[in-house]
Amino acid sequence: VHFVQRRVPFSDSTRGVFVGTRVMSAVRQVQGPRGSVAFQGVEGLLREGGGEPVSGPHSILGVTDALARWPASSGARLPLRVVTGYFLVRFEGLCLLSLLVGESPTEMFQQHCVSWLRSIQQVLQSQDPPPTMELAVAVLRDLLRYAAQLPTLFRDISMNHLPGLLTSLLGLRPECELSALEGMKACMTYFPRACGSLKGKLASFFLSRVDALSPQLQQLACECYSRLPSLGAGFSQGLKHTESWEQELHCLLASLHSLLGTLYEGAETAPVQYEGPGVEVLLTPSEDGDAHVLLRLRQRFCGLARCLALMLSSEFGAPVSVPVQEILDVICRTLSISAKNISLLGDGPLRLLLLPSIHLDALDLLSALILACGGRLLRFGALISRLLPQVLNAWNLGRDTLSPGQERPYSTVRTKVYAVLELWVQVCGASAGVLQGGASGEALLSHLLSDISPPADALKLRSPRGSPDGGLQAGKPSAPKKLKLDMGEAVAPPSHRKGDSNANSDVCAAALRGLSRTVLMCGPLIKEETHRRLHDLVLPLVMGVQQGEVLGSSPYTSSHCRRELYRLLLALLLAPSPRCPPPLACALQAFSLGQREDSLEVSSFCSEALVTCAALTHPRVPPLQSMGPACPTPAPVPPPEAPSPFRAPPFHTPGPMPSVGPMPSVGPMPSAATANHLGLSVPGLVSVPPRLLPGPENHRAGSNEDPVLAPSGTPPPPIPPDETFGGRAPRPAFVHYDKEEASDVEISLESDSDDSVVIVPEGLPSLPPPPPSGTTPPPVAPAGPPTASPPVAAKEEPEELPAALAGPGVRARGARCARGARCARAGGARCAHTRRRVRPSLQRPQRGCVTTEDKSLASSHGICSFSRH
Amino acid sequence: MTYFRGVSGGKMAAPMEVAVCTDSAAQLWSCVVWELHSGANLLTYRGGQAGPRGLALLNGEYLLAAQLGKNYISAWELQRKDQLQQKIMCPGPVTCLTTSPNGLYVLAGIAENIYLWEVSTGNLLVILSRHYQDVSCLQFTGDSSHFLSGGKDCLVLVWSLCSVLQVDPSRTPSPRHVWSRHTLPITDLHCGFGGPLARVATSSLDQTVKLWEVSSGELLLSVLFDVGIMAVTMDLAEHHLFCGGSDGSIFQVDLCTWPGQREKSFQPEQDSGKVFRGHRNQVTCLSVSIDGSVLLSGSHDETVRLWDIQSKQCIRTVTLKGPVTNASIMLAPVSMLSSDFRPGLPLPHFNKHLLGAEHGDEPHRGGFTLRLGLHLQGSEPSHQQRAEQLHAVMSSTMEKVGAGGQAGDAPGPVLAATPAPWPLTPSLHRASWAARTSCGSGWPSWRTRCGTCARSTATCSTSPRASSPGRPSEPAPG
Repeated sequence: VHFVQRRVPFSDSTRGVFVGTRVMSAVRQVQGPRGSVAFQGVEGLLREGGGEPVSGPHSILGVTDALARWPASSGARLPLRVVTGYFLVRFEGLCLLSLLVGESPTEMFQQHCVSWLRSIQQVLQSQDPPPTMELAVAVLRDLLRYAAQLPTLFRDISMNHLPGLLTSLLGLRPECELSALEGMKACMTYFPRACGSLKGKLASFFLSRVDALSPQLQQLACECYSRLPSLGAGFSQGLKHTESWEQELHCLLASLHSLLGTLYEGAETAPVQYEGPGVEVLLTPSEDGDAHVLLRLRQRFCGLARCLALMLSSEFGAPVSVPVQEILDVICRTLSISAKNISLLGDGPLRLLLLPSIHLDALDLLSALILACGGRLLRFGALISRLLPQVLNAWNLGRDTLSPGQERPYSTVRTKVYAVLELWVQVCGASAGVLQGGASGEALLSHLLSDISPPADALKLRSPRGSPDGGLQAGKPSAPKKLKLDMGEAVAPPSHRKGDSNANSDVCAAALRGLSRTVLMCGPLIKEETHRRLHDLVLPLVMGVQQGEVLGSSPYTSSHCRRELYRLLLALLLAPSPRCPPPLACALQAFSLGQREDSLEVSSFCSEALVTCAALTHPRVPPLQSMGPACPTPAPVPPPEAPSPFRAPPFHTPGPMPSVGPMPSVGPMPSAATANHLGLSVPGLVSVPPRLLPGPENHRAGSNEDPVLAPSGTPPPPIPPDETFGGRAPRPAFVHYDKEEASDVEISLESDSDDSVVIVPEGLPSLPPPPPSGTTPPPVAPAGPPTASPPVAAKEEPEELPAALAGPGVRARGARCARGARCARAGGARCAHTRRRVRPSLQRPQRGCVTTEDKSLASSHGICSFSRH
Repeated sequence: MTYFRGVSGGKMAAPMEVAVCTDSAAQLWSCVVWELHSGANLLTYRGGQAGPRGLALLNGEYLLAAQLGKNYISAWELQRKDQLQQKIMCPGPVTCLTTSPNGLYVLAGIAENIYLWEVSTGNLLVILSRHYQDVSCLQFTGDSSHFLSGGKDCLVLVWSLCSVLQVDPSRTPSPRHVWSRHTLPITDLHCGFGGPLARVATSSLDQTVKLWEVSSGELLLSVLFDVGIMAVTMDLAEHHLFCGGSDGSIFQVDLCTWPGQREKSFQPEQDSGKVFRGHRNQVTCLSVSIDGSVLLSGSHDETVRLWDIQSKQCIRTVTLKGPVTNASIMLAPVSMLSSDFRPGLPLPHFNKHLLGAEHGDEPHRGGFTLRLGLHLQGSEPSHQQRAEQLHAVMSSTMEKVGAGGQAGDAPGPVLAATPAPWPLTPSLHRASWAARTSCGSGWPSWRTRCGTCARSTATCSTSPRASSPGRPSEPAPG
């Protein structure tokens, strides 16, 4: 037996008493067949609070240590030495009890549970300090959880102990409110039937705390309140659980409507009135003349909205009927209160200040509804995709005036909106229908892009010379923000400025997450134009981040944002638009560079992404892509670019499409020094990403690919020439002929060597005389009838060719295709019949690509023979 | 349970695949379920005759069967075999039936119209009348985002569920793609995996099978046969296409051969190793097992045959009482095997009239019937998380209450009594713990007690707390 003299601390240390401590035995060891412990000592500790001798080799911390170690040593002896002392003994008893509750075998638990419960109840009824109560409640929760699993115990406790326990919890001192709520929550969770008798008392207890200012207390009160409908027997007061759930829900809805009415009286244009069966929840009336009446109302709104959200998102025993329309009504009503309509007189400014938090509550409610209803909400999909940009628009004020390093206003609301977007797409998958055209899709996209783009001064490094700002913005009215940011004028040097280095990273990461989830799930349904805009933003951004350009005080200093950016890139790669090839090569490069980042979060993600890319580049089955192009030849250079190998774009180099080829407005040909083939500027040399230059392709009106409205009678309507040739899509531009014709013309793009040849259908070289109608190659036809036109066109001299085409070296000649096929291909690299010529172009892949100029020229000659495979 | 077949000796038993078959005579039962590999008859469902392409599983809980030539759909709870549960009355004879994989929607082709019901309310949401002759087959994509319909008017339509549901009553919804390259009635269609990226095989009386892409709507492949094709399916990995001919042969088209062609014709003489021969009349339905090794086929010769795909041998022949209308391989849902299973939700009353139409049924007030909190399942805190929470409470109790009178034998400053909110999340707890250990000064008060015995210190190292860095071990004072 070990004796220790120690001063034992008391909670009320005013007493400052030295207590001669005796070591007492908390546990009498029982050498049963299982070698386990007996537990009477614990009860003794808890009841008597000391005075009884206890022996054992451990100190109080030994107990806590033993607690942590127990799973390893369960079944072995539990040596204890407990220091006497009123509080500490009780504390130790509780510690030990927590252990016993968790680890004791079923029979022992069954045998001792009730006495343990009594002990805990005694602690609850004592005047112990709040932390002890907290521990007692924690033990109580565990105990109830296990007790509910054993039927006899469950009945016993339900009948005899639970009402008493609840009464003691209700009677806890105000400073132990949190513990009381925690305990009641445990009782309601595990013994809902037995709590029925006290339902009324509990309801008013919770309701009075639903508008508590402490977020923790409020959250707990709301959690408890939302569990009320499941209390009592199946028929409590004549109502089934589900009916009482629905009734409660309607009461909450009614209260929320009336609170909104009071809070924003006069600010609503056409408020939706609640017409359901619900009666307002009885909250304690606020005193008149209360200076904080608005704050109080807001707090109530917040609490009740949270109760509603919790009711929707927590488990409930029986199937319920969720009044979706009514819930959406209150959400829409809240979210349509606009800051513009609030007058700035009187307490208007306060109302205005409270509005973001009210909107946040509504968004929380919306996400709870989405979570609860899942894909059933699809009917309301249009409404949801309208709501999100509406809220973003409402909280878009004063965002451009801030200097980098400063968090933009309302970023919490915006972050929440993006989280809701992500959730909606998560829940509905491809049917979510976001970003698929329409005004709301456009608005959402421009908000997303603006929150993803790094602040202006991070990018201004790349615009040393003046850029044609105005024309550009007129050309792309849908994304003025992004362009402004990209072209931003230089401001003061960023070195002498106060700010957060990772400002706006939360909202940026949330936007990236929402966007990448959307692209991943709905990528093939999103318009090609949108894909292109995303490529144009993301690819330079990724490269810029890797070169440290965009860093500084942009959100991308946060590794979280960088990882999400890579995730977006991966999504763009995995779910491309069927008409816009994914940026495989660029992504490969980006991921392998990202692999070397110091941040493990980023580098491990990039490694994972590379594995995915490897599966794309090295498909396990033979590449079916050969079925896609009309010429069944292995594509020379590009590895299968598309995840769907049927649809390999036969028409581009393995680079990112948006930037392949010279841009029309840059001048003759950009030298290798000013723009690399990625279209990314070499730092300091070229200012803008090529796609942002004012070219014809940037003035294109929105495309007409709305799937809903497409008057689709036959699969693909024939594409108007300028639609295809506007320098936008790298579409396959060739016609497959089964037979070679004497009139076929080959054009060599580079030199007069045989190895890179374009066979052009007759008519293209002959400029002034429009080809006779019979000789125009039929579009789309996989096997057009051989035309019997005189080989006039073939005899056209190369100098009659458009200059751009003739530039590298074009010559016309009789068809030479090995198998006698007459094929018009842009870029001689793709034809099976000319395999001989194709192979050398492996070394010169750029020859296989026809520039935009070529295509637009071709279109101007009215040749648009496209194979739409 | 005997419901698992042992694939190979000691390895883990694979989940059971069953074959679900119906014939148009339905003398003894309307639907039979047998174990795929042993052939053991497991269950039968009685009542009515299911029509071709008219059998569907709803949510893993109900079996729906469109009745041949009658204007109702029978619904059985999967675990209650012999008792017909409910009849869903329809405006006309149902020609084909399918359910969405997420269990939220039921689609039925009734003459040339497609009816779309919402399962959680029973509302008839929309009637699509874009086909101008009878709809012959319907299928959802795997992610329930699109559905496909094929008709006797030679058209295959791809509908986006989202746009179909959004459309306001004033406008008729239009399909996302219209595939009109078949020249005779569509007989069957099969949708592969991949949701919006999926590929779809369609078969037609025009003796072709065509493979399409949902995302672009383009035709990828067309195979011409000598006979009309009545059924088509693919294996899950989409390596092979199986096409059931009207002469009883089943043709296998390899999708991975190379070089592929966009148009090809199947010559039985050349590809003799690619034909399953045995049925004496037209093949009506095909299905491939999950591992792609076994093919199930039903035919008008009143037999269902099971084939080994590799060898093209017929493994088993089951003779039914009439022409086979449905035969498919599926993983047996739990409810099919355990008789004490109860459906999570009751089957709603399916409305006969359009939602929002005049003189409709009384509207279903109240909204979606559903179970709440399903997304929370499995997210309860684990044992270690709970232990850590408890530990956090203990430590904070210790600090708050114990710190007051702690001065005597503790050389360092008194522990900063950081109020630990309860419940602490594990990460928060860890953070506060790390903060405490890194400051170091907080420890002595612990140490004096903990280290009182050497044995406890030694065993301490196993506890997560003791292994945290910065905790000095100390010899026993005594």
